[in-house]
Amino acid sequence: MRPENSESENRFDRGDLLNRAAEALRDLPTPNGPSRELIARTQAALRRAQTKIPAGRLMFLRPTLFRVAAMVAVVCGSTLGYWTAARWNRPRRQSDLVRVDVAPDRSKPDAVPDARPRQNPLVPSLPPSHSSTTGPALEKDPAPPPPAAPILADGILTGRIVFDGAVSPPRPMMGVNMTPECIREHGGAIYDESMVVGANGTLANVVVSVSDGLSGWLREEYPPPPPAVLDQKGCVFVPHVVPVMVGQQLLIRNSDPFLHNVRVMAVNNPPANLGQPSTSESQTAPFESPEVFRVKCDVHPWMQAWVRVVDNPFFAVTGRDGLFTIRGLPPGTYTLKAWHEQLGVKEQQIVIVPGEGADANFTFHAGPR
Amino acid sequence: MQDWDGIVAREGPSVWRIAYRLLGNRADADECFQETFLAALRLAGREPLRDARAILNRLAVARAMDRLRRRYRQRGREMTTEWESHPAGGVSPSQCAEAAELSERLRNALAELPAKQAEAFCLFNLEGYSYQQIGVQLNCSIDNVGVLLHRARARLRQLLSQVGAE
Repeated sequence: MRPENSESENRFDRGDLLNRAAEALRDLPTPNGPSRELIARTQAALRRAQTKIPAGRLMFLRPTLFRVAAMVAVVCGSTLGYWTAARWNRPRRQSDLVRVDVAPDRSKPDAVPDARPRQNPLVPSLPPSHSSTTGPALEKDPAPPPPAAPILADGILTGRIVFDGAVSPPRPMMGVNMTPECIREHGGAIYDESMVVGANGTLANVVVSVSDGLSGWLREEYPPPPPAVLDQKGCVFVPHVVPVMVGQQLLIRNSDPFLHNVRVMAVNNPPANLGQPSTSESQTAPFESPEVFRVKCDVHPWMQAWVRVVDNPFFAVTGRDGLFTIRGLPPGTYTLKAWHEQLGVKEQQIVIVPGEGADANFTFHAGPR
Repeated sequence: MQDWDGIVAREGPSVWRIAYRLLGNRADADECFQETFLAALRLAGREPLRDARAILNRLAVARAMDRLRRRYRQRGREMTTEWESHPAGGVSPSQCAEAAELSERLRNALAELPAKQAEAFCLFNLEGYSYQQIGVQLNCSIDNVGVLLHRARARLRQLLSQVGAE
């Protein structure tokens, strides 16, 4: 005969221990229930507590009212904030871009009468039904003709951007030495591209764009150009600054034989975080709003590029010679904006006269923006 | 206004039984009993008690689990079961000891569970509540009750097997 205690231990191991434990606890007999004294004591305690309940209710009401008021305040505040942000950050709407009944600006003698402002000179003339001079004709045809090659008008805007200030020698980027594959691909050290100044102080990587005066221009008449290319070559973004138009896409390419991770740090446009294995391509969604944002690589922290989204096709970026050319501007008075990642923004009014071009030079000075 | 005297007299035994079963000794069960009714009174100040018995049972489980957790943290009273709770007739002393041991293991394991899982387990396995009733008491869906019970069982099995292996 086996001893009782060993039998008991074996029973612990048989079957589902949990079920047996639950059964043991459930079937545990209770001695006699609560004593009469306990019941009486509890009833007395409840009666005492009940007399304090009205005050307790009031005390409870206060935090409830406070919570309700706080919730209302939060809802109103967030709604107001959202509304304000939407008003300030909203992209230029189509209705803002379409001008149907705008009188020419007679206060400015240089302003050219509204001869052809409603037709984008970059696209061929459309039949009258497509002309923006007739408001309702903006409705699309069932089968619109495909856009033909742009026709360049006379309005050629050229200019030069210079930097007035002491130029420090290019700074080698930190951390590159830890990645020999980057040095190998790049063919040497990698330098900071935030201030690229050429001979005679000419400034590179400045985006020049028309920021105002295009009220007669129709965005619909100009299809977004093919995707702009941002390449990663030798652990550097090429080009360093990319201007794109609203509706255009960005083709991000990795020409290096190793991984990059591209982070598109847009706020008003869809952001992206793209892991890019060696020699691959990714295409962003079409940009929706004018914005300036950075593109960086999470693997190689010194790598960064800037993308400036413009809401019209009249933009250019300067090279080392500081020169830029914008073609096809209709006659009129415009505000020209030059943007540099370190030096900020400068604006200038320009006038395009029919049959003639225009010049616009900018000078950036050292110092705060 | 609720008739609290009547509620205590009517539901008291059930509440006390739950507390005693989970806590294993009279002193703790008595304190849990009072706490349960005072909690119910505070609850009644905020909303009407539709099903007093169900609410009291749930509160009793919750309060008892709170005490169990405190006790588990203190680790001072490992074996608190009173022998008067064990049946005398028809059950051998070894079976009685085994039931006591299993009950105490399960109490310790329950103290390690998240509160909601422990309450769902006690209401289902010890009090025989349905999923729907537990869902009403814990303010969650029937599916959620199923998930809570599944997780509770899995964790309890793990804890009990660890204790058994020690």
